[in-house]
Amino acid sequence: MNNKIQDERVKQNKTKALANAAIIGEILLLVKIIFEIFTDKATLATTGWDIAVLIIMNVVMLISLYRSKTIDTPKTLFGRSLTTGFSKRAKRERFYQSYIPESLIAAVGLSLGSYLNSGYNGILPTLILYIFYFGIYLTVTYYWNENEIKRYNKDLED
Amino acid sequence: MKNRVKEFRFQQAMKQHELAEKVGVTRQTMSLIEKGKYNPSLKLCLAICYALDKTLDEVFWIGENEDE
Repeated sequence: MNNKIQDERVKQNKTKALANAAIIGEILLLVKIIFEIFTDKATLATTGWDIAVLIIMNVVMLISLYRSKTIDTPKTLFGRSLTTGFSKRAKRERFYQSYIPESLIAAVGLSLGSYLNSGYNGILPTLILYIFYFGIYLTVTYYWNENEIKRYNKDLED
Repeated sequence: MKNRVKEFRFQQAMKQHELAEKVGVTRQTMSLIEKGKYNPSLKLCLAICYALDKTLDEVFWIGENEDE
């Protein structure tokens, strides 16, 4: 009996173990970077290197995924799967069920960030800022995701 | 995914490790497949079917209320 066979399950388990190690590594690096920044211990030699490693890890992952030609259904930044049809109904569904709700939530987050950064400036400026963030996020998410859907459909046709 | 690998293997008087060797996997993997705890790839499913001299739909199928 040969226990050294690298069958698909064994390979899958090894891949999962490597992926888990990479995720833990990324989280630890991220925590270290945040800690160094907030405690004013950040230097180019240490934090800069950590950021570079973090970027390299993500670039390697993206290249690996690109080279494996894995076609996944398009997802929004919040991780919600999108329908991939081109009909008006499908577009409307994506717009009202994904882009609008996510933009509303993202605008709250961005406005909160502004509030923490520069304090409360009154109801009107806050509302204007919220609408501005909402508009920006909606535009970006709309064009980004619609482009992803086009690319997804093209990949399937090829 | 459900299967009748064990049943057909018994019919052929084949040991688990013999079938595993024939299709190029470990005995542990074959054991998990038979118990329905590991879903093999289509390539491995076909290899098992060829080894057991059965068709794919005779050996593997998806249960009615299965989520996966």
